[in-house]
Amino acid sequence: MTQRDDRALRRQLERYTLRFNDAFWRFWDEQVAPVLPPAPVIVDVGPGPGLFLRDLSERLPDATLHGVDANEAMIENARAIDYAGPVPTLVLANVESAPLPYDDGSVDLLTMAAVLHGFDDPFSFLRKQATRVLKPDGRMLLFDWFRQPMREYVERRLVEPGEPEETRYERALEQFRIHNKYTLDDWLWVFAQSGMRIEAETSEPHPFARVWLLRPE
Amino acid sequence: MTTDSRWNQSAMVERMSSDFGRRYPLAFWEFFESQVRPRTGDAPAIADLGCGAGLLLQELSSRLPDATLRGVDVSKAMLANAKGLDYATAASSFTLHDLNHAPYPVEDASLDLCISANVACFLDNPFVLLAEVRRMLRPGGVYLLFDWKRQTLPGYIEGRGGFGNDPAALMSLQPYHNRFTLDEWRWLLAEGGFDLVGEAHPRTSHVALAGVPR
Repeated sequence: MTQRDDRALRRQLERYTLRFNDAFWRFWDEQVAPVLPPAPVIVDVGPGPGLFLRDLSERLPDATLHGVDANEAMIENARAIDYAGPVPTLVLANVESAPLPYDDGSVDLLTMAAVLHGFDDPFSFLRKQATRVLKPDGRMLLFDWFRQPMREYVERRLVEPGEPEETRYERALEQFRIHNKYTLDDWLWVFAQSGMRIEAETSEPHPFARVWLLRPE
Repeated sequence: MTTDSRWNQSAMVERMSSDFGRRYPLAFWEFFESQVRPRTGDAPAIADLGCGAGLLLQELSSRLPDATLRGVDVSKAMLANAKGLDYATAASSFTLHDLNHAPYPVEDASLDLCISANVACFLDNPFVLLAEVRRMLRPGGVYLLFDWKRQTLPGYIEGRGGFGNDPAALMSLQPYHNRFTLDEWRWLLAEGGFDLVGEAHPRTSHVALAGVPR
């Protein structure tokens, strides 16, 4: 594992509960779980170290779980952790440059947490890939960042865990452009351009993120 | 200037050369003449940080034929083009350097005018640039920042001529071009130790700011 991979993995592990907190799971229980079939097929795109799949495994004993990630270190971590229920099938692939490795119309729920903003072309991914693999009544659960004023973003990053103190400021400046790629209005435009409509949303899990339950139109 | 080898350098040289008039419209030069030039004197030492293909320096040389010009860029292809242009000034020099890393190859307090045009938005840490500009400027010197300012996503895409055949290529630049709002540029200059002495918006997508070290 490279030093960069190790740092990314550590950061994801330390920050998991900042994203998937009580407010997130409340949204899951109220808006997502009720629309899933009893034995859903769920694909997590960019599962990182696999902690979300681990929690889904515990909550959904009859689910079929998949994860696809471009980072080998993340996939290795996801393969190594314990799952209380179904064990996910994990695939190493870059789905920004290659099609999602799943059959057409085969997925009940496609999840992406803090991943899509990093894609150069989110429009094609949503319109062609996500829409293709979802079943006719399938949904997409998207957790992603929206733009903050630079000062607020940098100040928050300076106190969050996962970065050595001496590199936090530079890291915050460097990450600013990626995490702040889209305003909320930009995201809504991306969805509209990509044929996705919002079925439910929440701002409660994280002050810089929004969680959307999307459905192809 | 670019900091990423993904972008085809020879194609960028060609585009920068053919597109110069649109990228630096009359409103830019009106700002330069009214807000910047009165501070530089008639024979200034000028550095264009991230000079790219050299077109901006060439235009400056025709406006200020007694100036001394320096160009700094991370791209060999850009510098090769810049070196090959004709300049009205007697003295010009070009240096290969990555502006993400200090120190820049210019002596302390040696410049009357520093320019960064479409560069700061690409740097990992723009405060490195601002600190180096402060170091290199003489007392009374001026910094001209010309850069992208944030637009809405549909406004940005429309301004760049639509998605075209390769949306991913278009969108790969969006995080850089849309990185800072106008207020954030002003804040960066203030945090970097500059007083703002001029501001203009020569293009819908761009802001020009003139700053002097505080």
